[in-house]
Amino acid sequence: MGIVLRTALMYLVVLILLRITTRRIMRSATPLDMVVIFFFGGIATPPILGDDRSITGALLAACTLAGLHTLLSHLKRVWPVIGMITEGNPVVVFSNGNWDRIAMRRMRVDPRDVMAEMRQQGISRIDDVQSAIVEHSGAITLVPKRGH
Amino acid sequence: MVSDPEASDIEVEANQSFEVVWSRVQLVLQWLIGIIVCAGLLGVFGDGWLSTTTRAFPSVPLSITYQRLLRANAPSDLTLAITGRLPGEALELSVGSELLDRGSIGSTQPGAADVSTTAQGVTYRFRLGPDHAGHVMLKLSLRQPGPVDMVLTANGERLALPLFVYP
Repeated sequence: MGIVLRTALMYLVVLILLRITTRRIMRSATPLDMVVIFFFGGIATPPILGDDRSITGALLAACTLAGLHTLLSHLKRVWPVIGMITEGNPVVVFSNGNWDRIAMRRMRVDPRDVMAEMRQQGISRIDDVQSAIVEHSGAITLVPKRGH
Repeated sequence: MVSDPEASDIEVEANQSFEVVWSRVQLVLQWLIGIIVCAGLLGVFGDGWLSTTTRAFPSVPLSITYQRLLRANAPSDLTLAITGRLPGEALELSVGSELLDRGSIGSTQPGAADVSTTAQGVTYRFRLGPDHAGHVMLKLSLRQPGPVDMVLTANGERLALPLFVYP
């Protein structure tokens, strides 16, 4: 019982910490983001298993993680607010030639992130972009202006 | 998604028959995970309501609380509670070799006044306080999985404590 409860607690703690730390963690894969993944992974495991080095204990912890993830994935379909809490909503950071500085500060996104996405999509000028949206997955979607 | 065998290298088409089978397998596995987690919460794999049990010696005023389902290479507590006034100044507790062949006793709380080891097992001698009551805790760690017929002897009286060790 202890392993299940400790795993559930650490899952929720790490989920919330990742949620408030960065949403671009798997998309940008910069050292700034990757260091969070490495450290969270290392820090979260010892409290769950402690001195327990059994296969059953590891299996139980893994099943608890998988079960919680599956449960939350189903629940967010039923109650969208769970998806908003655990994953967030799309946020427009650039629209009609204007940067939304407040949204950018909240998302901890700077123009360089948008420019990098523009270059990857072969867009060379910001004037060709209608809007830039930080998706809940962390990806930046660029909507080009009509005619471009 | 696995492409249909009919599809060419650059065409990717859903392999519907595989997707249907995989969807069913996935559903079964998700239920299995749910059952394992619920069983874990109930203590089927140790450390819970179903695994914790209390046994008492027939005539010696001692009860033992231990995990009858536990995991190999994971620490587990065995607690003796003195439920009445014990005769004498000491409690003599022997742990049979059935347990020691499969694992070890890391420590006792409080520490034993005397420990002697024989081929039949290990005997701890605890000094009783002025009220001749209290608790004694043994820290167990079992290495080999499978059923174990643990036998404890307290002041000459034997008590069998069957337990099962998961890998």
